[in-house]
Amino acid sequence: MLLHDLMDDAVADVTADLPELARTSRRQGTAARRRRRAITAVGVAVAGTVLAAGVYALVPGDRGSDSTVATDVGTEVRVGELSGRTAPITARGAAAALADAVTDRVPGTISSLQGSADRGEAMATLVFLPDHGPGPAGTVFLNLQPISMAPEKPGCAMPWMATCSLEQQPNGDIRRTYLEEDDTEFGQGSQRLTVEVISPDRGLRLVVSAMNTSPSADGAMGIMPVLTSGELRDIAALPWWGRTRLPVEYVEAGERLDDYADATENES
Amino acid sequence: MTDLADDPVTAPPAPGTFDELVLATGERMLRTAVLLTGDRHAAEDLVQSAYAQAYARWRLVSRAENPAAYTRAILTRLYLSDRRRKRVREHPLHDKADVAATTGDPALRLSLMEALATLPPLDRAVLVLRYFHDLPVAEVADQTGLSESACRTRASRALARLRTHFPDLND
Repeated sequence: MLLHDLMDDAVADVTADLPELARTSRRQGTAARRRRRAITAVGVAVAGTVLAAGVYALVPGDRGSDSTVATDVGTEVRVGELSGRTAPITARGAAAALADAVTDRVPGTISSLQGSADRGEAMATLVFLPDHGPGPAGTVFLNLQPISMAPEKPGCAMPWMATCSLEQQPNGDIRRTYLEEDDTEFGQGSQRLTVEVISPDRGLRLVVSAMNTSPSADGAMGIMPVLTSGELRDIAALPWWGRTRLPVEYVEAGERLDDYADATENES
Repeated sequence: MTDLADDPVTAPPAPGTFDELVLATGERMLRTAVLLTGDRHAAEDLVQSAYAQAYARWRLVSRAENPAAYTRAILTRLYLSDRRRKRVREHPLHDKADVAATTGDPALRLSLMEALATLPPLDRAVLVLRYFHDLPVAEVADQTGLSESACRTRASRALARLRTHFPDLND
């Protein structure tokens, strides 16, 4: 007997009133939208100019006509369609870009943004609480470094990797995905899921990770990190990441972030 | 049963509106939720919450490569998050009348739901996605937040447990 058939049979006559389901879900979804907007007291619109010709060496990723980054202190940063123009990276811009990349994929609330951009390297971190879970919120971390910072021969045999996979991408990039458990800082039960992209063509090492807890969680741990490996890979694959330049819309949006602190004193 | 929304050969065109998505996938989603929760009413709540979130982010969902898979991912994560929050220790179904009213062999079905209820939520989710939806391990891993090797381990362990109830079970 096949498990598939057994499961099929167990729910064979479960039926739903689909029009009613659509109606009630729409109503509940509308209420959720309103709640989300209610915490965004200040709206800052950064209108992006849509240029027909791309400036990026790589085309901008697929995204909506705008997207919203909501922080828990009531700031909304609206980033329009990316124009293709770039500007020198700033710590705030890196934080805004990370926040948008996260919430463009998973609905949720962003808080405690931090960033740094110094000597050809940038970092951003934030705390993210997905809408679909009770929490706790988890830390999301981004690092943009020169490729010289990457391991010479990235592998999966490190003792601190609970799981790991290594993939060669068609464009020559190497992507490593790994899970660390029981982080020394956060203790037993903590998980950090990381996607690392080493891109020889761009001279870039990109690391993006998500945890199942954060410094403000008081030891509470989620059942899994707040982003999945697929979501982290999607974020890492955004074509405009660079350690020295970012889309100008993010650099501008970063200037308007409220719940933000520099991670270092030396922002470039 | 084939999940049309996941079948690249027979998949219908992607739903253009939210209502079309619900009409195309709602029944399958509810059956998934029943297998996950073991309870019809909890399943209805879960499915409604998942679609509500999909609606709240419709611009994002509608542009996803597979809106149905996206919504199922929301449902899976909602289920896992809810289990953690409530720290519910799942028990065998109490509402046997509900189960007995369904088709097929009632005794067998009750045993399956009872057996599923003995599994940890993550193991249960892995089995449902892997064997009810026939998803590849990589996709199950993405939807549950596990690594592929952890998925295989959990599936193997959960199957072994089910085989204590169903010795003839094939995966």
